[in-house]
Amino acid sequence: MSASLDTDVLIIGGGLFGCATAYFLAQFGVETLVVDAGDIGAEASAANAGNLHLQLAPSTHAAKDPDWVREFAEMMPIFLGAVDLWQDLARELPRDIELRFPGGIMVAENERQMAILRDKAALEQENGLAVELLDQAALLALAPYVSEQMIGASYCPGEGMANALLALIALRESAQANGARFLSHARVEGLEGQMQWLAKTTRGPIRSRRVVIAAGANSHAVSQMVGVSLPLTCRAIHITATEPCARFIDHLLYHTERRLTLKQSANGNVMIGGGWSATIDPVFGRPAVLHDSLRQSLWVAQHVVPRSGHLHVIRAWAGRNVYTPDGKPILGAVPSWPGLYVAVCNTYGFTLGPFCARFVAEQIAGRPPARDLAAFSIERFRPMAINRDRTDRIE
Amino acid sequence: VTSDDRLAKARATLRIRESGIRPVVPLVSFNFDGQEIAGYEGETIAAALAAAGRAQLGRRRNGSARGLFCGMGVCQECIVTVDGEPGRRACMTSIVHGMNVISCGYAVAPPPSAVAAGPSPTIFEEPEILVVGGGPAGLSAARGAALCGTAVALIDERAMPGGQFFKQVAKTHATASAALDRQFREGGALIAEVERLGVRVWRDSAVWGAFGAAEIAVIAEGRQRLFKPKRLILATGAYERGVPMPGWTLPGFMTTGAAQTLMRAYRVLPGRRVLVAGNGPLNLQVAADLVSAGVEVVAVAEAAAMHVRHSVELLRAGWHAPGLIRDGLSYLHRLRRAGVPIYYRSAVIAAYGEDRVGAARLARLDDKGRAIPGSEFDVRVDAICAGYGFLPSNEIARSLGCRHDYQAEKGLLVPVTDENGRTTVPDVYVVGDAAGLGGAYAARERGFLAACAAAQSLGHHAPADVERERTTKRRELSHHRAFQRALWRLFDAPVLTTQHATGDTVICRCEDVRLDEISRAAQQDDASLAAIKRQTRAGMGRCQGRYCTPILAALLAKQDTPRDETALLAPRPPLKPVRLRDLAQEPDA
Repeated sequence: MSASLDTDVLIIGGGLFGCATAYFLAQFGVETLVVDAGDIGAEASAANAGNLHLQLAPSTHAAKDPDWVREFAEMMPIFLGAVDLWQDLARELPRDIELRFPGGIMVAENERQMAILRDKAALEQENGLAVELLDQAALLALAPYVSEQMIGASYCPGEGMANALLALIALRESAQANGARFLSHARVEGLEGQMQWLAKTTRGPIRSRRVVIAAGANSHAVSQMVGVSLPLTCRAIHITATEPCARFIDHLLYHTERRLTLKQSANGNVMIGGGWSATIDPVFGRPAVLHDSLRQSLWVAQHVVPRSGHLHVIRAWAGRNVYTPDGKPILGAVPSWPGLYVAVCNTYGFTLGPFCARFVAEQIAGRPPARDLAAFSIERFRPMAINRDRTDRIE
Repeated sequence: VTSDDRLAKARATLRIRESGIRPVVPLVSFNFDGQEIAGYEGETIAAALAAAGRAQLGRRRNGSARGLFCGMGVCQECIVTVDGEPGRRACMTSIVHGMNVISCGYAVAPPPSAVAAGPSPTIFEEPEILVVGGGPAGLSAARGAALCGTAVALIDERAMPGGQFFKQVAKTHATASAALDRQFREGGALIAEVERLGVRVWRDSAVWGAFGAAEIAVIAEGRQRLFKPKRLILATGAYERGVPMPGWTLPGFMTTGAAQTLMRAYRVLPGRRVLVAGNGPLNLQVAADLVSAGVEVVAVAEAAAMHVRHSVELLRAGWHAPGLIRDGLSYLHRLRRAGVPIYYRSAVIAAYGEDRVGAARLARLDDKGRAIPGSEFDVRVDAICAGYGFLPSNEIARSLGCRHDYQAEKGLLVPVTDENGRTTVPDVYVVGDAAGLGGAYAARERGFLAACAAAQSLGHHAPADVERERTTKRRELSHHRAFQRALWRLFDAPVLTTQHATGDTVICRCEDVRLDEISRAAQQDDASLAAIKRQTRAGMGRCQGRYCTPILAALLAKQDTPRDETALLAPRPPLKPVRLRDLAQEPDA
């Protein structure tokens, strides 16, 4: 690393959002430095399962107001665009990221759940998603590995998956090849300025013209250093992997009411998630798996895919998920803070990451956006998010 | 050819013939990849196949043949599909008449037979003291705790306690006590006493999660149980280091411990022409036992110089443990009488063969452990036993947050404990080799002392004779430690990691990750263990990084290597691979 860390754009956070923003900025010829408190691409970006989601998630939306869900569903074109972008990236990136589109299946095991799926599919179709309902015969013909206790499903051919670890490494390598710099184990301990920013990190001070906060679960803490309060909540969840075996599961599977995402990776491991609660280790402060969550999540997997019961579980790990009040990302320039940008997401970070990052990079580089995401500005949470004193002073 | 002929042929195999220890169960037969194999009911699949001369247990997706490696359930290399169940360890699974075994357990999909997910509620167990591990330290801890009047439970992963050092002859054989050496007899007596004292011994039971000192998740005798002890004593022992070199994944290349288990527990020989190589006295013992059993030991290669100037260490060791030194000298004597050459400051640096080891290359080592050019020579063998020392099995203690020190030069993570084995986490003790390598006898004393301290902390009073034994044990422990220090100096040798690996040598045996892939990933200026794992999959396989992460850590070792727990990857549940349906529990409504 050269003596001076000073840069045009400093990206705080080396996860998917940070790496993808750097990837696009480097393509646009903007000088960029990415810093991370730990390894590059180590936290939620490495912990997530690499699923590309399009279907709504009734199991997590059950507690939400119907209007909330309706408004959230209006994001569908964004999701579709994001998945298209992954296809482009898979062609552009220098390594195989194991991108596949086998389609996603959300199973139901009773008539009530089928009714939920019917409503869900109607709302999805209204917003432009190709999705169809399957009766049991059609479900078992499409996915013979699914339990006969499942009576039907919704099927979305456009859903898919990739290797989240390799995708991140590929984005980083490509950004590096185009001149972006990365600095790991540089925790930002102070951030100040306007027009010219000064970040105090554990590996020295960094001056920059622009700053992007892309620190995932830590974004709130970083933004508070400059008097901005990102309305984020966090929850640790876990994912489990079985031993690798020959492919017997094609699709990305979900359950209508139970917590489940399940798929088989390119390497052959069955990956089981669904948002089961994890905890924070009291000694090390890192996300850690809970006994009951782990066992119950595996029961749901076996309940839906009985054959998975024969496999050995070899690894479970936890990561922090981030949530915004409306389930939508918070993106782009922070009004009244010249040069300050935000790139965080409400879960679905893997699906939406590059798409959101491209918009932020375009905004920084002053390029016309391929898709205008200005509606996701933090502005929508004013005054909750933006400290009035600070705003007054700057204005 | 009749079935009887085949069984008769099976008897004339690699089984040890002896008078004092003889099989007492009938020969049965099972199917292995379509061939009928004979074995004694209750012995492991790996032992029966080794006896039949079948070293190859599977093949990787890339075509490479694999066989028995660690022999103690750690490396997961020997997995096979048993009656449709993939992922079973041949070294831990007993044969049953008519069983159908298929090699290559990882390359098949699970059978289509549906298994309904049952409710499987957690069963709670609340012993006052829970001891994990039934080796010298664990057995002795259970004995001490019971003598102090506590309700104690002991969990052991194997069908019979004893661990590695006190491993007993399998139940397939009857033994005349005259045929048993001191190690067998002492272990047998300790096991018998633990049972007599009413310790609840959970066999075939494995801890898969440590979610808190009083939240120890176990598959115990086939059921999911959560142990909530008041005190936890970890006596999880150690496992053998892997030293990567060309050909080290070939069937027939195994750890010295694996060969010892085949011989001592199952009375089966690892091969007919065997090379024993490594560092430490275990290799001499196994080589001598191989010779006594009629095997041609082509050579012993010892990485230490064992120079004559070390004889003062030998004398010192002899003063502290005359019995062990006598044993050691008798191994050397047996080897010399059989004409087995012992090469000091030498090592096996490569193995050759198609689907089984056929030859080994030996070389003299320089002081960095590298082969001295020109010193190499080849020997024809059909098995190689490599024993390069041990690493503590510490994943439970690490999961619980016990503080560890990282000894970078040896690549060891050692828990910080007081003289009674108490760790930095309240109510958790670590004893034996898991608490830093010290040998079986030190482990035995440490287990006893920790148990007495734990019992006392629960308000139990040690009877007078136990108090006297504590005093004796403390004194003996200092002798054992002095002996161990002398032994280490005697066997002082360069630590072997990647000195003999080439670019295409597999480092991560589970995921088949080669040294050149790892070196590339390690070139990033911010490379870390975790980053290499994410990029290459090294450490993501079934052995959960136990064999490759110490090698990766050595590759990355720099001045700024953390000297604590974080030097290695964080252990994650399950701590051992566990069948999904054994973990599944129906969610609350």
